[in-house]
Amino acid sequence: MVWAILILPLVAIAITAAGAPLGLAGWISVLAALADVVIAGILAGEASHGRAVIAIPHWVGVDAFGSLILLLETFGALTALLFSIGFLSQLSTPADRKRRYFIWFNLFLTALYAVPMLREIALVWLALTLTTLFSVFLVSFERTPAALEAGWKYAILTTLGAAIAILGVLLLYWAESRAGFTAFTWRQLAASAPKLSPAIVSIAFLLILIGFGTKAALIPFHAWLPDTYSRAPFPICAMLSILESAAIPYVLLHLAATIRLAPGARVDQWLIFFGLVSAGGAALLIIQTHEYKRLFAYSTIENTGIILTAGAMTSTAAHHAAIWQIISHSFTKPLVFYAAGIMFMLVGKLRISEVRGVLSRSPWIGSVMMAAGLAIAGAPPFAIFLSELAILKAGLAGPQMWAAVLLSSFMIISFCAITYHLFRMVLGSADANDTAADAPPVTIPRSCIIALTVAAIPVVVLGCYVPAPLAHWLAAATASLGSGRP
Amino acid sequence: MTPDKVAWIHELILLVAGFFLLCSFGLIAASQVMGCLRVYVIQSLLLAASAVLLGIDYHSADLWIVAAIAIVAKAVLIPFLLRRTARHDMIARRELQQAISVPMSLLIALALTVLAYYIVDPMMDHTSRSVHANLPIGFAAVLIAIYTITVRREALPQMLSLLAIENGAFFAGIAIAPNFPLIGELAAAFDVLMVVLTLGVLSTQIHRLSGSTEVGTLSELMED
Repeated sequence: MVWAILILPLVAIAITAAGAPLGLAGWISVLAALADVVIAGILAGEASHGRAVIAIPHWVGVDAFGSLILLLETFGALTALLFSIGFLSQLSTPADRKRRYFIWFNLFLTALYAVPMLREIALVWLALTLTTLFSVFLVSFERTPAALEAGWKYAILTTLGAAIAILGVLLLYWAESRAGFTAFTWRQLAASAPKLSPAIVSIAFLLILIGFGTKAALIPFHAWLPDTYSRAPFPICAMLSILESAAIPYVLLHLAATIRLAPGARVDQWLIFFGLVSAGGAALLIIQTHEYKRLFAYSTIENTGIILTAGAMTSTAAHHAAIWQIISHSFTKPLVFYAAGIMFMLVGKLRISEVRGVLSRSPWIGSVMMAAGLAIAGAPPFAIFLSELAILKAGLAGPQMWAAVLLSSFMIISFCAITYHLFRMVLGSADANDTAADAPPVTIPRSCIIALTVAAIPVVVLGCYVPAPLAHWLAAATASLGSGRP
Repeated sequence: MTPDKVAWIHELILLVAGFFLLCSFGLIAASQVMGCLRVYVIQSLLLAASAVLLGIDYHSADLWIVAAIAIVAKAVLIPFLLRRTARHDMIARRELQQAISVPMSLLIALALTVLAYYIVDPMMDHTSRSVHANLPIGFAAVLIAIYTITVRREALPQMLSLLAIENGAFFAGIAIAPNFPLIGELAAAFDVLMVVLTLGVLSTQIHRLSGSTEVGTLSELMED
């Protein structure tokens, strides 16, 4: 059953490549994603009892934390593919290239799903690297000079990160083999941790953090991010956000939980340092940004920073809150990008200063954008409000109070900045000279509306309460992470 | 092995390491695309040579397989793939532009080499002589290649510098982790080929687009 998750997207690719018409290709991909969500849900149910579901010992399997990431990825993929169908129907690109879009998308998904499923660390590295290579042509899908340049920047800089990370991975293996272990799996690494040389693993972890941090666009390694998010299609932005704020924190926190067992290893200091710099830097970038796609991209960096900081704090409550933040952000961010995508279909502009009075032009799009924007900014009654509150509560009660205080000020800055930009776009009065205001009403494709609705469900539900099975599962995921505490 | 032979092997390992570092400098100094490619291929062959020597030193047959993978993937397949995907005028003879002049860049590369020795120093307790040769040089190659990416302005030299980072990482890797799971080596080789394919196609698309200015006809031109 674990295998089916990886095989279903490949089946969708095979059907598309075999010459299925565009409509079929899209819906087959959606169907495969839907089946993956169901399977991920079942796996999550099994893994929430605290025991990993193993497909091949030492190689493939998911623990509670991994199954959670898998569910977030599959759910994001489902809505992103649904949204893609409507989004592509608005473009005049040749059908052949649109079919290739689904092929690349499914290849990307296979690599993305593999990240939490692989137990061998070198293969986790490969899967993460392949997510870049398979998404390059999705980022540059528009094939304008700007889109191609964005794709190039994205590919070069994130692959550069991967190359730095492999050096860290090799050093880590060196430390492990010097301690007398040979199998390079999560479990063996944890077993060998107390005997690892602190000098080596500290540098190894720093290299891996910088390498994967480049891929997660941690500040100051975020140079590729503004262009990439400006040019990539909206559903791709949604998937990249899940990759950056769920899959990569999963790998880094998993690694940190094992390496910190090595006496004297510097792990949490680095995580908190880069986490705080990213959260703070992104909050400032949000203030000065001119494009709403970049605005939400910076907000992804901010959330990744918050997650890493909370994950490095010394309390189980903080770890619990960090995982909760992963969940709430990965559910909310796609919703925001879909809302922004629909708003783009209405106004046709990316610059914040050129978008005014969305609410008066289309009340429902305006209110959806407003709600989604407030949800990502961290306003109640949405999911992120509760998880951010949990992080602050856990942080203020723990020994890293200063970090929690800094985080809270960054959260407030970004909240104010996001709502400021949001209010200007959604409220405000439409420009009198704007002829587009008199243009015929835009019809939003039905699949986009379905995607938006489906994506909104968990955001609203988790904003009100945490269902009992989810709470149970969160605790199991925290245990698999926090067991690394000495 | 006799002590004599061991000493010999170590001398050779040091020699190869020296040439390997020289190739990193060469990648900065090369003034043409084909020159960059040639330097990269030579560097990959030196990586393979070092793996063979270390294989003898460590009595590890795995490293010979690593050497074979390096030769096949980097010295044969990559030049082949590049010639297939890149258009002729992308690799034709012409002077490459650099953001910082070559002599200045070489000085910076020298400083980076010193920095690499400084970084690896705390890790060097109780390590073998081969690690002493390869680990700092691998680190230096990584740092220099990162620097090279930032100063190169053209697509293919940037990509080759990117691949040189991976070379540097594995140059250190073969010394410190001779038993690194082969699946990891295969993963890296596969990744390198994917990088070349993806970036090769992408840079060709960019080249085609920048050769043409009329946006309306561009969607016709673009086929991969």
